[in-house]
Amino acid sequence: MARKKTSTKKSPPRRSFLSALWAPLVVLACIAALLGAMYTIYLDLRVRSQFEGARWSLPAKVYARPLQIYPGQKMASSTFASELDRLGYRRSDELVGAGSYRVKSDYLSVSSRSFRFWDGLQPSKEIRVDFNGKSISKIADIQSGEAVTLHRFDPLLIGSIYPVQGEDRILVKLSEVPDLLITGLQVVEDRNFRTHFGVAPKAIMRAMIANLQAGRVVQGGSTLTQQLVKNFFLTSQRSITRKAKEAIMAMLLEMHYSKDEILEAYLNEIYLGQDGARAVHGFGLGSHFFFKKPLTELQVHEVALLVGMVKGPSYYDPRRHPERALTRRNLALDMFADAGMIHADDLEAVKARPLGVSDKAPSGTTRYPAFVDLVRRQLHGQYREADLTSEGLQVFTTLDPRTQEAAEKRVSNAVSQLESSRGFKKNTLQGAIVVTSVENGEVLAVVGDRNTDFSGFNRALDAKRPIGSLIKPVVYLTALSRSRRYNLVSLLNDEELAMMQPNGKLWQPKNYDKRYHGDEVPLWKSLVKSYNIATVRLGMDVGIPAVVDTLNRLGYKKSPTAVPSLALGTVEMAPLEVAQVYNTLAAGGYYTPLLSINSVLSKDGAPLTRYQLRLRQAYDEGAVYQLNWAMQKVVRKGTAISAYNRISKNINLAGKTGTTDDLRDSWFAGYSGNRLAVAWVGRDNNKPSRLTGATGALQLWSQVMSDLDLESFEPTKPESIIMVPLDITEEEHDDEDCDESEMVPFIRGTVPRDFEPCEGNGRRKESRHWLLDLFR
Amino acid sequence: MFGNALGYMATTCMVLLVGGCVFEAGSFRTDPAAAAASQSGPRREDYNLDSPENFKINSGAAVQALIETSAAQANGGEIDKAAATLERALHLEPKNAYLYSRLSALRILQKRYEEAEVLASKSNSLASRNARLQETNWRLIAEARSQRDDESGSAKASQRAKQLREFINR
Repeated sequence: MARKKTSTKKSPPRRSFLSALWAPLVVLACIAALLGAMYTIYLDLRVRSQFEGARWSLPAKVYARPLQIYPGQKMASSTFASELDRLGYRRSDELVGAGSYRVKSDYLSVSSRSFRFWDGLQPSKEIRVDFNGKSISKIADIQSGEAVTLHRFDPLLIGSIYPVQGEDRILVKLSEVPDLLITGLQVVEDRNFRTHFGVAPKAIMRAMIANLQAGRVVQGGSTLTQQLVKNFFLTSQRSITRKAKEAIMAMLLEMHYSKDEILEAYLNEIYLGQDGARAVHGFGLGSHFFFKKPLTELQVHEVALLVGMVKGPSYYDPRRHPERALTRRNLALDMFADAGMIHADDLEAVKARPLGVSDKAPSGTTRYPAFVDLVRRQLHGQYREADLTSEGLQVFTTLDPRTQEAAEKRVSNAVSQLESSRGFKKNTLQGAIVVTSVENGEVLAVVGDRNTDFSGFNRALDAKRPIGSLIKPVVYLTALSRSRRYNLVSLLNDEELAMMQPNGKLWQPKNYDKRYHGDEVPLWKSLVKSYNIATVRLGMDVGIPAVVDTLNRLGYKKSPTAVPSLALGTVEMAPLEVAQVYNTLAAGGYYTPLLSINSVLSKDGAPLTRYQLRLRQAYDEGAVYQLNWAMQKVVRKGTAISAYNRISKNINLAGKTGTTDDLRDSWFAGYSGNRLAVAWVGRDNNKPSRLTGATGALQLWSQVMSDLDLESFEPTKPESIIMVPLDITEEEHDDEDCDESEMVPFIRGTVPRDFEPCEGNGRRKESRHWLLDLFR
Repeated sequence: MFGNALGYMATTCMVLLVGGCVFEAGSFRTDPAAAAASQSGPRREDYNLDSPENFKINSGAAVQALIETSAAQANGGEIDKAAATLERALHLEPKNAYLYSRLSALRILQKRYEEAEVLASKSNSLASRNARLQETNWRLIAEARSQRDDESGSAKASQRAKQLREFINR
């Protein structure tokens, strides 16, 4: 029999306790370490993907059309100075580098910024611009003395195309950032940036002591790296675990990336403010957002403000809390001085300077949302949403800031005035306007709402309303193109009309004045006075499908139902669509698509797309010329006569008023030689506005046009047209000397043989006058 | 009434003196010959023969400089850039007939013949009194139509150009 082995209880209790504990402890430690490692790897991946990802997501930048100046241009020196102000150029006693200008009694000196346009890099240049009264007399290059025939300035940045809840940046490379900012940032926020490993325990200790001494938080111990991490995951949660996570991720960042890379990311990432729904990130954009100019042009007190704000952009918002911002800025300036960045002598002077921050709207980066909306839509055909909001494209548009701002102000004021004049409560009426350059089809301004900062419903592009009498020129043009049958003095029938419709009901159109005007109304007069009944008959005679065809040829893309009432404008169009149609008339029958974009460049300035000039001869020039003659009369003598209350009578204008049933919509579409505008006033709920085209939209239109540099409408007479002197006044008189006559255009070969020159009014004489032979 | 009767007699006399024409009452009529007047040849009073073909002299200095640049670019084979430069000029002087004519020529080089024709027509419509520019434009139109295999249209345009040339040289 084997002897039973018994366990000798000889092990000391300590050893068994340890051994009992040791294994589980080690296992636990291993598991913890494993979990820790996994978590760290996870954090590492997160922080790296954020870091890499942040470098690439850039919204498209949208620019206005560049200001150009040339000798002989009509521009006062004060206007030029305000344009430079708008561009963020700094006025000073000496030219202090690109982006500055100097004003003398009759000339300005400017140092323009360099800029990469479609056709290449245009370097910075110092020029002297001499004025002679209200125009530029001479421009010269200051260095070489050479005359300059044309100078183009860097265009105004007006906005970005970004995802709805988006961030916005202007990327800067570290090499482009002023030393003042780089040094200043470290001095104020993280002195040991170059030497620590992501966290700075000494700084934390120092901060804790300072805070304890002060009894509140006066110093932060976060490094720039930690702040960068915090920005990646912007939450307001400030817990211990959050801080620990940040610390680990900061250390991980430092392991992967160099100090320069981290600093560059910080400069582009740090949150500096809020612009409506958009967050302003990075000093590049911050500089524009607060000071309207690029980073390289900031002065020391401006740099100090931005650096000071980093600690709490909302708390130190210079627009909402200017006193706090000033105190913080001056504290930063003190620290700059301590670090030797400013001379002690200069410190007081610098601290005494005002904040210098620009007014937010309209100078912020969400200017002109209605126009940028149009730009976005026109880009969508060619670029995907993802590219638009992340590739950093540069979009050069046709916007004219001066025109746009004038239009915005006028829409806002005019709609208010009209509202109170009609006894409406505030915010009952709305308005919209579109302005184009006529010949090049460029959209200069778009206003979609009387509250111009509001980027909601864009009435200029989307409010489709019946156009009423705005259709009449299209009907009359169709008639005039049948030159054998119709000319400007053809007689139309404006007597009572009743038409049976397919639905069995009788349609009896009425004139606005509720009267009938006889059966011998000259065609031009029927248009000028906007007679409905004569127009309906005319429309039926030429055929409504023909009217639709004319409308399409002029540039309206859709096919409205071809019913008789179309002659009175029962087709719904947005102001931009109306503008397209009228633009063709203003350009003598040449159709060019209305565009808001000139060109698109990549983030690095490589040309991508250029929207080239495209023309189509849409309609017979002779017919258009005749129509334009009548449309000028609309403004000289007809329903739009009040336009000349605001605009010089030396400027020929052409246009048409439009009013819809029950005065729901008030329209005016009209043009000078170089500008076309379409204005609409009405109510969103489609109730009556109590305004006609003349009392409503025309007033808005006239005010906007009166702010612009107008050229008279002087179309060139086409070869097919001959001018005949006729007396078209109302009175009867013998006029052998043709004193009362006007030159009326006819297509050659269609001058009525039985017409006496100087005998208008549609009355035929039995005799013939020898003068007629001259007009064959 | 007496005045009217006298006037009527005077009128009739003048008509007889001049050599009379057919007396017609009532409707309008299109005289095909008259309608084709512009086809049968340019009329003296319609044109200003002093206008140089190129409006260079009439364009502002800025536009002239851009035209020079455009020409240099075109000669260097950079047709697209040349066109872009002309379009810059058009922003400054949107009704400059000469610019449209030059742009038309560039469009031919860009093989965009339909557009070339429209631009030449546009140039004509802006300078209907400039015989020399019109002649150039009609030659451009003839070329554009020929390239699009519209030989009969091209011939008509060449004919117009020829008439203008003869008229100018008269």
